[in-house]
Amino acid sequence: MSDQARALRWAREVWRETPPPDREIRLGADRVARRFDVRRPRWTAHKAWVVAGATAAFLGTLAYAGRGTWSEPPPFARKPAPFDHGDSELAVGASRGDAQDVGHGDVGHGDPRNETRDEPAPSEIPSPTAHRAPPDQRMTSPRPATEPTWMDVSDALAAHDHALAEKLLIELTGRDHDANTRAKANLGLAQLDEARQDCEAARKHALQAAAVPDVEIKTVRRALELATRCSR
Amino acid sequence: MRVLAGPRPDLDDLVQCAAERMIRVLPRFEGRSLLSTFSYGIAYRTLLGHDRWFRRWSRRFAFAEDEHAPEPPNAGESSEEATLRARRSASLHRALAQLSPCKRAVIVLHDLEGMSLKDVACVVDANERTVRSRLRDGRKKLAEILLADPGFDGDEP
Repeated sequence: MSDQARALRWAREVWRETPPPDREIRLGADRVARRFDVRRPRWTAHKAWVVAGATAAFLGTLAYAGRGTWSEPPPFARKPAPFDHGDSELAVGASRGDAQDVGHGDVGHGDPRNETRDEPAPSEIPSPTAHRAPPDQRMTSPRPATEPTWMDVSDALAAHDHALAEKLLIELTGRDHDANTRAKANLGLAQLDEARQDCEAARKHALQAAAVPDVEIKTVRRALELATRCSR
Repeated sequence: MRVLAGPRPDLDDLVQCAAERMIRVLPRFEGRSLLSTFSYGIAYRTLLGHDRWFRRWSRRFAFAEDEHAPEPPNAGESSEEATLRARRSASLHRALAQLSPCKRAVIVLHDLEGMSLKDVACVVDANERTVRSRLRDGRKKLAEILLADPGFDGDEP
């Protein structure tokens, strides 16, 4: 057997006996999945809750009316009542008609006649906030509860708690975060160091931020600018 | 990506870049090759692009400390076996790292992963004759490096 064939055979053996560890694959998959985890902006979540609340209020009102509390049916629903199985088409149409009102935020005020009738007490109308689940039961996210977010860092900085901000940033530089997050966290640490006049540490963190591959160019530029400032 | 790049500190980032690129271009996959070949091609181009970037970067900067990620040990294996395995693996990866990226890719994909020449040609975006040529040169170079490596413990002829 030639040296080349021997080397190749050995390489194949070694290659086969060292498959990638499951843990490594799982961590990699988690990182990628986290990168693609779409986080809704706050205003969207707020809007969703408002729309959900308004819809709940509308449905509550409709259910209240369906029990015969109102003396006459609303103009869009002919007899029989909207939820009568005999006239399901009309009921759907009625719901659609009111859904448009909900969309414009006119629940209960679209028809002037409604204002004169017995409306449910304010406590009976489900408000958007009353139905909110506790924070841990809201929209589920794969992000663990203990994981720091940029909002936490921002809050810590706003409260001038630099020690906490630094701790959170160090956590964000961990290997289980994506490249952009780690680069930005390193840049944040560099800025904190620069504010403390610790130029050596600032430069080190800035270069670490600039060294992360495929991050946003503005992060790299800011990191390199900071590193240049600190090397003067 | 691990197959092409080997164990290295920035492997996670490379995997992530390649996965993002893969998901972005997946709608353009026409099914003319296997999905695995298509994804190997993306990983290969991501790796080449990253290496080019790193070469440019390292002309200007250098890491203050060596950041080599340790291989996590496998559970249920004696420490002696694990050490021997890690030593052999390190020798192989050290030898592969000395090859040029093009030759390393064809050696790994064809000789170690068992991919056909046609698929390898598709992955590295070259014709089959070029792949054969790279394979021949790569094998020769790899054998030279391995035979000179003290960690190489292949059978004597």
